[in-house]
Amino acid sequence: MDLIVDIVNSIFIISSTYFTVLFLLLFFHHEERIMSRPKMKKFPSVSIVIPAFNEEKIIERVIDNVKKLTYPRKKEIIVVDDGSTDRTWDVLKKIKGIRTFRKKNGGRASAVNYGLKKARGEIFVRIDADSFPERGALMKAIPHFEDGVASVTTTVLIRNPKGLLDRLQEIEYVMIAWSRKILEYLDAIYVTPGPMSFYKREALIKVGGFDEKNLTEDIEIAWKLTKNKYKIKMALDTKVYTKAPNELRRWWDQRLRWNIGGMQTYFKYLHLLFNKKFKNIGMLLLPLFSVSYVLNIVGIMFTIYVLQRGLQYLIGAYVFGFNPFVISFTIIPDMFIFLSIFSVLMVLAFLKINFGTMDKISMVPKKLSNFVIYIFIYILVFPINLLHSTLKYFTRRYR
Amino acid sequence: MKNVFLKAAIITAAVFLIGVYLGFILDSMRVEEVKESITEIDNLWNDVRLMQSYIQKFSNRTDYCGFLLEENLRIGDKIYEEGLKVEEYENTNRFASSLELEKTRYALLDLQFWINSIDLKKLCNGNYSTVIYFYSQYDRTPDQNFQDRVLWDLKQECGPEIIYITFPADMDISTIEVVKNIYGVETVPAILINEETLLNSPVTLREIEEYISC
Repeated sequence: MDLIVDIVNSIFIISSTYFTVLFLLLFFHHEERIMSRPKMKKFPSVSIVIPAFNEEKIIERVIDNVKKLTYPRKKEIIVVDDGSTDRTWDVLKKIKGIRTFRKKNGGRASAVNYGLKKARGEIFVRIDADSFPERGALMKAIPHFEDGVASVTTTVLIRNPKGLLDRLQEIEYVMIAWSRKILEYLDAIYVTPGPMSFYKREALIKVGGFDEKNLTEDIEIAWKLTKNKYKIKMALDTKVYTKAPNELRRWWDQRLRWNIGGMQTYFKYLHLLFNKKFKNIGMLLLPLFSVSYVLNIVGIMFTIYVLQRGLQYLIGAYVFGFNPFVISFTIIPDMFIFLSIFSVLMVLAFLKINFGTMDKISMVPKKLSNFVIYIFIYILVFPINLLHSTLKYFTRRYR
Repeated sequence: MKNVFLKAAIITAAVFLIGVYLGFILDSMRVEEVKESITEIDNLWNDVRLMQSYIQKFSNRTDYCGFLLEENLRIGDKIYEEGLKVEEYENTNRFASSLELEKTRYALLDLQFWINSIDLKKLCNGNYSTVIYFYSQYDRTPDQNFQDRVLWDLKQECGPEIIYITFPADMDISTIEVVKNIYGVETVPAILINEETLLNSPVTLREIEEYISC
């Protein structure tokens, strides 16, 4: 058993060290240009599409905010009411200067696709109905549309964070944005987040729009564009503020949806694994997802093993009366402790760089306790959610 | 771009090798430490044994009984402490196989010490108890882990009033095999108290205390 644990532990540490090193190298290599953007040569026409379902309370403010986005040309704003059962449609009818459409409920992807059919702009901007882009978002993101670029993603941040769960998600979102920028250098951006992403309308039409059957159409579209040899860029300095789930149950469900959607996409494209013709998917995205999945599962199994060993001692202590804290129990041999220390140091470097860079745009409050909870508790919950998602995915218990 | 993947692989390999190398150095340092310590006990043990032989041959034995018993217990505690260290190092060592040789040396020393303790007990009417623990060196079951802890607690509670000796039952030492046959030790973990009572584990502290008083 010890030998198996050693081997699994070694593979786990080597793989996670490898990816940490890879990310750090890419970061250091591109550090100076990480926030830069190409010069805007022309101002393409822009269509902003907002899919809305039961958003009567917030939709007016969202549209008002979108109207205020700085851009030298007139923006086409399209709101698609996806069969709301509340007063969303009544609210929309009263708002001037936008195009509104109402359709039968078919899910967010279908509403975005509906908007895509109606849109006339060269650049198609999809904004969720609970998200608020910063004033200069268009001016910052659109210059990234150089030759071959079909989509530009942005930094998603939490709007009005309150409470611990929001604060933890705030750290997480900042890390996601930073790592997406690093993935850009590998041409391996795997998601164009719903709160705000930019697309070339023509490219979207060519690839057939968003997959309406996928739980995370914003992940699937990224893979589809990549498969069709389009590039996706990350405008790190372009911010959009969105509402994050502030209850554990809703947070858990959101992650289940993300994971299941990710799995749907993964299996949809799995036939391209190691296919050199589609190397960004076959040689990068698919292997990256596979390794990440295995690392997560192995990580949680190892954690459970360590906890189980610890628990065994504690149970022994309370049932049989010996003192478990007197004898130190060693589970991981020293050489692995050394490696673990290396890994922890690298993670710390990763965090430091992450927040050093991201501070320039996110201004996430630095509360040490939040970081500690994030690293030692919050992250550990992910693999459990992943296991739950896997179970749901394979038993088809999702909608 | 290919360069970055390669560089990352080289750095990862370097980190891993440095980790392994440091682990190896640490392993070797520990083996050296154990070796030195066992040699020290060995010398001490030889000294006491010679002294005991000398006293038995040329002096009035009973005059020296107090002293001999005290020395025996002192060595017993030292061997026990060393055993804990070997045990701890065994859990962490992965490379240095010479630790196993030291472990054999340690077990042989333990055997000699036990036999001597039996003799001395008879000779001097010693009032200490002996607890012999047979365990598996290679198959550490939860039962064994539990028993380890119980006996550790017992030693903490009783201190020098018990002589606590551990034998790796599956380590291919002929004397241990003979001892196992004599006392009918067929499964491990097992506990032999005062060369009379064999307890098949797991047993609690309270159950052991029924046979010994300290």
